Amino acid sequence: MEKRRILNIFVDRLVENGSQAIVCRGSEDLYRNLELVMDRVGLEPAAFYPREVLRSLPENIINRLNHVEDGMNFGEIARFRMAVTGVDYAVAESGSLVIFTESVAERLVTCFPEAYLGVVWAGRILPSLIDLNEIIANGVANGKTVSIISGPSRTLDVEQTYVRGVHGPDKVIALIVVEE
Amino acid sequence: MIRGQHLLRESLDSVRRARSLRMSQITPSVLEELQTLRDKNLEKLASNIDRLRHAVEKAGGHFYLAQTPSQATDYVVDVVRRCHGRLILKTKSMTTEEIGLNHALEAAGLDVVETDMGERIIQLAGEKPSHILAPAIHMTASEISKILSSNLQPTPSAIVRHVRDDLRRYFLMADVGITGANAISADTGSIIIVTNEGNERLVTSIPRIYICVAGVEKVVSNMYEALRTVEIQVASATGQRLTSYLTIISPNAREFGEGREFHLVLVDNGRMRASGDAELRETLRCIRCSACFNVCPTYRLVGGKIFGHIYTGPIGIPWTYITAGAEAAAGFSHLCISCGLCMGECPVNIDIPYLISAVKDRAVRSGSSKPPFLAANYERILRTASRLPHLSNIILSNPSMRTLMEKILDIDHRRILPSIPSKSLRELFRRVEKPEHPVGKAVLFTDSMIMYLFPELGLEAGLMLSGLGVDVSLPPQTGSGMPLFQNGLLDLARKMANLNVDNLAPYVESDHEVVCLEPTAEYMLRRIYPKLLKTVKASKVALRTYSLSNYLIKILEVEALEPVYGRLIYHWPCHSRDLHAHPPTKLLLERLGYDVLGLDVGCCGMAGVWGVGAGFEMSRMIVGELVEAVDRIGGETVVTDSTICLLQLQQFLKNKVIHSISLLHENIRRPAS
Repeated sequence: MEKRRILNIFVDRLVENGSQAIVCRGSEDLYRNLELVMDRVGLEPAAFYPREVLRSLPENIINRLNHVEDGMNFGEIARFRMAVTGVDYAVAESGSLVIFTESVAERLVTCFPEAYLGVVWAGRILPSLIDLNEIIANGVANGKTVSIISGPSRTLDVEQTYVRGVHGPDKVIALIVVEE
Repeated sequence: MIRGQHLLRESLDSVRRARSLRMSQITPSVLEELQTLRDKNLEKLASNIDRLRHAVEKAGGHFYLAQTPSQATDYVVDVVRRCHGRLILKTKSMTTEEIGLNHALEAAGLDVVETDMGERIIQLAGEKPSHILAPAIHMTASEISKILSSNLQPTPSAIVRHVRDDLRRYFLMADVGITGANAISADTGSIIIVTNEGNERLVTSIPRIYICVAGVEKVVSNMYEALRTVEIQVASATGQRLTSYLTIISPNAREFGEGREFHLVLVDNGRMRASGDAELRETLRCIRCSACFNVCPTYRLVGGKIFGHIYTGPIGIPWTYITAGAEAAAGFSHLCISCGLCMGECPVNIDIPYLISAVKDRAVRSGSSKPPFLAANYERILRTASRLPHLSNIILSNPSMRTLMEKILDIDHRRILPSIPSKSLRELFRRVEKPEHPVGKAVLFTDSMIMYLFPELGLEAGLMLSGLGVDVSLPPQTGSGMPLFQNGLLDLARKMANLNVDNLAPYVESDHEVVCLEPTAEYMLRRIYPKLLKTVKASKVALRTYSLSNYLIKILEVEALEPVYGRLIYHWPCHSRDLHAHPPTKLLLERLGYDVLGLDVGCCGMAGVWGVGAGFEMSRMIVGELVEAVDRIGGETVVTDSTICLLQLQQFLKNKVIHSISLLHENIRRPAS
């Protein structure tokens, strides 16, 4: 499937599953959008876990974020109302963000907050979950835990009414970076 | 009115709509592949479990295969005690319900907190889950808010916020996290869990001790199979492409290097025995999507608190037999009325109606249940009544006699029954002439209702076919045996099946088609007899069997005698739904020129002898949905293909209700060319 089509499907499916999608043209556009989104969401305190796919951010953004480190108290992590991390892969068909983690803190940072902002590179979007099979198998073999996030935390348990933000984020925002 | 019945029905309908849309996007080959994978996995279950044990232990995790529920609960309690755990968090898990884990932990003085929203509500209410995916589906927001707090607003969002805040403190204090599994990959020991709430992420990450408790059937060979299973499970369960969260956690995960422990407890509890049981092994193909619940007419009425033991709904019957025995299954298996609608929903093509009948059969044999008198003797009762029509009609019209009939024969006195005709179908059928130059050869298979109670329909079918140039005959036959099958009297059903197949086979050999005048008759001949008898003869008969409408469409290519105008409401009987992707009679009537409105509701609730006897009250409640639908449309004539449905609709609808044979008989001819 050509890249443009995969990107379009991914954006459509993100919206379909209740997430938001922002397509950024390169890193500068990402930083600009990230700042705007953080302003608009307006939740504090906010957290950042530096991961291989997104190790750092410009100073003006990083100053607004608290670094989460391995071994950090879980109660502290639970206090964050917004979190920003890089995303390892994405699945177009289901509008999913795929994160391989090595520590509990790294995983928890995306579990608790009301808003989760995930930065994903367009080149890492795969067409379907099944296309991710070997990547997942390799990740697992290397001791990674895999989290696939496809929209906000939700429930229909009370009178079949759709309510977001049960145990996890009620806002999932994917910032998709398209390298020119 | 049963508590929460409307909520339940609306919920099931809404899930079903979403599911239908999603499943239509999945190609049949993907479903076939999953079915094959599930079957292959069953064949190598023992070796996969060995591989899994090796993978878990090699990675430093703990593996335990529990043969019985108490072995599993003892193991979990021991682990918690050894680690000095106090507070245990759980995600929703049917296997832990099956083994009574909460009870065992609480008996050991430990605190257990359910973290799934619906399950937590049920836990605080002290109730039983009514659905495997939506445990509190039967409760209103007002009822839930009263359970949670005296001053909580009775709105879904306020309830969710309250439960979320309440559970947050537990998440941070818990020592032990317990989950089930949607799939387990044997090669790495990876546990795959899906949720929409995200509670599994917290339960598997924060506590020091992580324990997964799952049935052995969850074990698949590798990650590919696990992902395929979960993908279809989600699509068929909720209609989503994926749930909000999918977590894959493995015993070798670096997370467990932080002083945490990984335990996998696999539960057998009858599953391995079932995997070697030719009749029941299909149950283990189930991926627990609960799609079969959505269409089950009796489940839709009473929900899982009545239609279930631990496992609920149609597939819950064989699951209960396997994991809790015949008596537990017999406690609710009688609620299955063998309409067959569930099988059409199953993504892995499990013959749920047959499994349920097999379970009922075993329950009867083991003395756990007694078949209804009427079901076991219906053919004899009908035959006797038709031999003495005058006397029978006097009895039927006498209220005192009807009360007596209720006591002796279990025929509910409120059921309006047709009078017994004075002439038998065999006598009437003499009027059917052989065409001089036949265009085809057919034999009629009528089933008991037309044979004994509505012979004029058999005659009309015969006259119509002979008028269309078919050499049609009425061979010796008994009823199809559906009431016997429905009530688990499989040996008796087999006898009738044998008799009918023996009678029909020579005609099939001499190039006759078998034309069924009842959807149930077609269902038995095509779907049930080959499975009951496992003979080539039964399969050959099945291959040449048609419904009357399909025969008219496919073999004769008929058209309207005169141009017809008019609007009809069509009720599609359940057994025909199981056999045909589209209703043949509706297609035929439309071809003749009628404007036909198909009813978008399932079963009418009659279900043969069930609705005549013990099931009358429920049958009356089930038909309510159909009555509402017809009332919304208006006063048009209602048409159906089944005399059983006809009885029900004539009793409960204000509209005129007619059998499709009568309508076709008056309106059909072969094209002049």
